Amino acid sequence: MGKLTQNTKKMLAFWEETEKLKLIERIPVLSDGIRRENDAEHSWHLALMLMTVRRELDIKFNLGHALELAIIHDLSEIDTGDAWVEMPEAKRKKHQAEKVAADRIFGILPHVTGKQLKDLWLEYEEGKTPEAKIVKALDKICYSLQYGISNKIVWEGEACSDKRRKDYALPYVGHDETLAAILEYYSELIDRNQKGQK
Amino acid sequence: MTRKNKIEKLFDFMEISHQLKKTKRYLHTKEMKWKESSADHSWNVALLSFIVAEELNLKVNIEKAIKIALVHDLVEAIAGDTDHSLIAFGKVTKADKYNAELSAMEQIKKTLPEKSGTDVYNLWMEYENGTTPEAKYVKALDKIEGIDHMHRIGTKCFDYPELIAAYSTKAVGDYPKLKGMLAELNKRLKPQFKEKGWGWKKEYDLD
Repeated sequence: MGKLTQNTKKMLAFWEETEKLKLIERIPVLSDGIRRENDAEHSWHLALMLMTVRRELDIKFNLGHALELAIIHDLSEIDTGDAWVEMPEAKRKKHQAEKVAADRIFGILPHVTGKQLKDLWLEYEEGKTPEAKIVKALDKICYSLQYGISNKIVWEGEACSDKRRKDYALPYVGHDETLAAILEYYSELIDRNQKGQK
Repeated sequence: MTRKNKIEKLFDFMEISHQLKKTKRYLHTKEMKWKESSADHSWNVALLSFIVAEELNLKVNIEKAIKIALVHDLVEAIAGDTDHSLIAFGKVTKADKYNAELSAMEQIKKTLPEKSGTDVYNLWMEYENGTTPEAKYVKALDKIEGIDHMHRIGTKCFDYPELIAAYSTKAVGDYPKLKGMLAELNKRLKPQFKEKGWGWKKEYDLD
């Protein structure tokens, strides 16, 4: 019982820590134009997308595993924030900082579960397994999607070009024909929205 | 249905479900600034559903529990969050809430292609009926997460004692393996009740 209580306390400490993911702002704005979406909302939406894509489209991957990856993939941003980096040196630094953050955050949990989550997080970062690849690809598409949903909203003068949106996701979908089809459809949708507005 | 149609429908679904990021919870509390969205909460319950199952070695299908957690509040994207105070104080009946949510779910189901639409519908129904181990488990986590959230925000958001301390007892009673978690949470709530000048009733504790 002693160990169980100890572990329960650690779990509650982890809940307290991970709640902060709801405070991490991402760049895309919500369709009410009042605020940006946050990392928790994004992670939820990504998981929901995985669930439906797995069922409808011809992409083989272990859904349960992919859902776990999606749910925890951004937790390190509790410490680092959601920074947009493009330069290789900045990317390397960001990755280093996120690794330190992951050690700290998953270290709050009881040892075995903490290690399991850290391994999941690393798997996503490395992006080599089928599950990590699909989660990464849909993660990029989700970003564009949220931009698309709040398309008509001008937010503090920010704009994200359509080309940039497509280019952003492209390197992550190229390995799979179905994913490429999703992106292609999405790009058409953006074009149609653009024409509708003119 | 062609692949292209399916993809199109999947995006329609993403657009409708995105509304859940704007649905606010805890509407009965006066404190405004910390109200989280139902999407925030659903993510949180999904995270707990696999960590707690691993840690407590629970006999549940984790993948299914995660899926239930992801869709359990989806109807609120259309129907909004019916605050539990409205039901507790008799302003909205359970049947009215259920009917509004059922019609929202039927609408959501239609945005999706058939297979995934049926999946989402069935998962939500399973949660509502609360008869499978996974549904009971997620229901208990849903309540515990809510109370843990209130506990962390602190007494400034405590408006009604019954809506806090008694909020999760039924769901945890139906899934007794989480009694230990509730006991730990109650231990933390008690000093806050004292601070508020509220008594702690015996029935708040499950033995």
